[in-house]
Amino acid sequence: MNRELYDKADDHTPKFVSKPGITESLVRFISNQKNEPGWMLQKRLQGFELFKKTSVPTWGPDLSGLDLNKIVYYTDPNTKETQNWDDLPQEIRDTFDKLGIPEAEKNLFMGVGAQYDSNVVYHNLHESLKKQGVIFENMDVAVQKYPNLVKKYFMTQCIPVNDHKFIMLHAAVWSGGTFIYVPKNVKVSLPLQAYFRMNQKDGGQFEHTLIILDEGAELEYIEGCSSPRYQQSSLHAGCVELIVMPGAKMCYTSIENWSKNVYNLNTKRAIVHKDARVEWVNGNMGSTRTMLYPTSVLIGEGASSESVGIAFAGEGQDQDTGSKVIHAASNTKSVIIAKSISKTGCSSYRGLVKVMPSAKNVSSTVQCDALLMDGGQTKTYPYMQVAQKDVKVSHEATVSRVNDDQVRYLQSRGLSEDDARKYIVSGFVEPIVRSMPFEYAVELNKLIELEVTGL
Amino acid sequence: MIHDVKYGQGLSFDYSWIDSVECDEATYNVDTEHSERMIEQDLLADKHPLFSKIIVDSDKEIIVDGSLASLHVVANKDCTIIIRHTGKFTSLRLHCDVNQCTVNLVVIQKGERCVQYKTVDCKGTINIYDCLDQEWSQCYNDVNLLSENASSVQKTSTIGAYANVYTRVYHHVSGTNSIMSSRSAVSNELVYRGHIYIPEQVSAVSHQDCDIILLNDDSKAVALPILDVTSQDVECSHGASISTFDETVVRYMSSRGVNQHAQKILLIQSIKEWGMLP
Repeated sequence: MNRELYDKADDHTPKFVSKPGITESLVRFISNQKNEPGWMLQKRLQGFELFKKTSVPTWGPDLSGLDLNKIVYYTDPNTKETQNWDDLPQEIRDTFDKLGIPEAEKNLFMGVGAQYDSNVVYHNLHESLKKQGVIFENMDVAVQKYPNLVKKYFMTQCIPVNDHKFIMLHAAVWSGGTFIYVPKNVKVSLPLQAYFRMNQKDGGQFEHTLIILDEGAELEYIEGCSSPRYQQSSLHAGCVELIVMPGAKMCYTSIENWSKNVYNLNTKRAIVHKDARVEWVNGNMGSTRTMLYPTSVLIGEGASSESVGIAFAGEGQDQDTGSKVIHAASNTKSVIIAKSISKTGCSSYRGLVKVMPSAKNVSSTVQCDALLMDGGQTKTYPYMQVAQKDVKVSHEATVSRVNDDQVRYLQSRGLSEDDARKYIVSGFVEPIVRSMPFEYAVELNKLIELEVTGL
Repeated sequence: MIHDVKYGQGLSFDYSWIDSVECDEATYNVDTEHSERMIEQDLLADKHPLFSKIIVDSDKEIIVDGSLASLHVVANKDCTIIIRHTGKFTSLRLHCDVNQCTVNLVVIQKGERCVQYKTVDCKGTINIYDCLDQEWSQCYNDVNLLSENASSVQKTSTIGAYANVYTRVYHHVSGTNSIMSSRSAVSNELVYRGHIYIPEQVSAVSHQDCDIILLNDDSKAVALPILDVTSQDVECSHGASISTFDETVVRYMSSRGVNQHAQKILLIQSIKEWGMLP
């Protein structure tokens, strides 16, 4: 494995590339291309109007290098969605082959979706799941096929259009993504996967993921992202909405491996009902700036949430990540474990634990550890806001560096210095990697190895 | 020896520039602005008509009457400095220079509403013991560790109804270490912010912890302990917790015949004593 696998652009000529910048006519054009119902166009226009009026956030990493007028907001690849990898243009097929997606589908997943720039190019779901009523669709298709479900949950209660600047932008120009519905008591035994590839120079990707788990359902969903490396900035402003109904269990794993010219300003949030559980597993390896704080809103009694995350900040990278939990009901529990490695770059943990006045017997634990290498920087902003006496909220954080004694000990056992450092870093991230499916854990370990050794 | 400084009565004081006790998401942005404002306030203090410079060579108790006071204390020898400040509304702005010595600093404010801003430039050891037991209090500590082997301990105990506590330590040079510790029992609202800053190329050891106990059903607390580390040769950690009484302690005290009300009093007393003991 080498970095070129992700960083090399494909020689693909898209069918349509919009002019840089966003206008109302572009918003209408995207909606028209997708033959959307009027309510969706209204939502897009509402997002666009709010976007124009709202300023870029001043807190967090420096976003001054991102020129929103130079971003290409819509790129239509020269292919249609298919259920057969062989139907894709050769260059696109080759890219996904190199990334190992078709091979992984055979062995590991019950369904796979693949998005290339603004549109989904491949989508397939195992027959057995279709028979059980599981829906796994391209989001554009879902708007047409399941209008009632989509209208009820799409950017309404979970992430409203007016949430923040980049969600407003997302609402205006979203394209592609995934829609999943798992019916009552259906337990999906193997994970579903989506892979997002951004190939367009100066491009933006705005996929929308909406997952609804009905009562007692279970699902594991894995998302991977990558893009080639360009000199100019690219933007990823995706949106993930999870609706986890009573007794359901959702595990959402995401490995974001964008190239180092990408601004990754992603928003992920889950509404968790009674006795339901959501698990977030996040690996943030690439991108020049990341702002990503997966959020769980625990609105039902007995709901629980766990969030584990690893971030790597190399040269020129500012990884501003963390997790948020809002305890809005009694007997709710949350755990946040965040680890970061800063090698010449800057990683920040920015988190929130909020306990509402009505939420009794709440327990929350936050643990964040930072490892510093070669002049890296780290910042920790754990925010705890509690308005109820009957709680146990705790936070722990440590900052350390690769210890010379540990390196020397390993060297005395016959390892080279590089190998010793690699093993120490692997040991540091092990609790996070353990939470991932085996193949993803191997990939993440290799990615970290690549970054640590600088190969 | 007692150094007694008295100030005039009845000075009006504008509280509007002080951070609100209420805290929301915007707190993320407050810290830098706040630090800048503190510096600005300290600069203004130099021109303040009531500014008073006190050179301390031995243990000293400074008594201040009236609402507004600005003191510049310079300590050249090991000593304990106790500042007593009384008034209906008290606001104390204190700048302390610690020169190659160990200083124990205790500020005791009495009044309905109390504010204290302390800036310490430390080239020795500074131990700050704050006990905020007023109905409404705000405490801002800003410690600068300026020479090798400089160290600071900031212990803050809060048992008031409304409190806003901000403690910061800035490790300017290598070989410095700091401890920041806070214990609170809150009957209404508490906002605690701690900030450790270790810049590039500075080797330092720092620890911060904050424990908050909520006493009433409608008590609220916000904790924001910040680590800001740009150097890599550091040992840095922090921990924070917000909870009600520890169940084990409650069971133990109940088994010894201590009722709920008495338990609260004991807890408050223990926090108060913890804050005042080295």
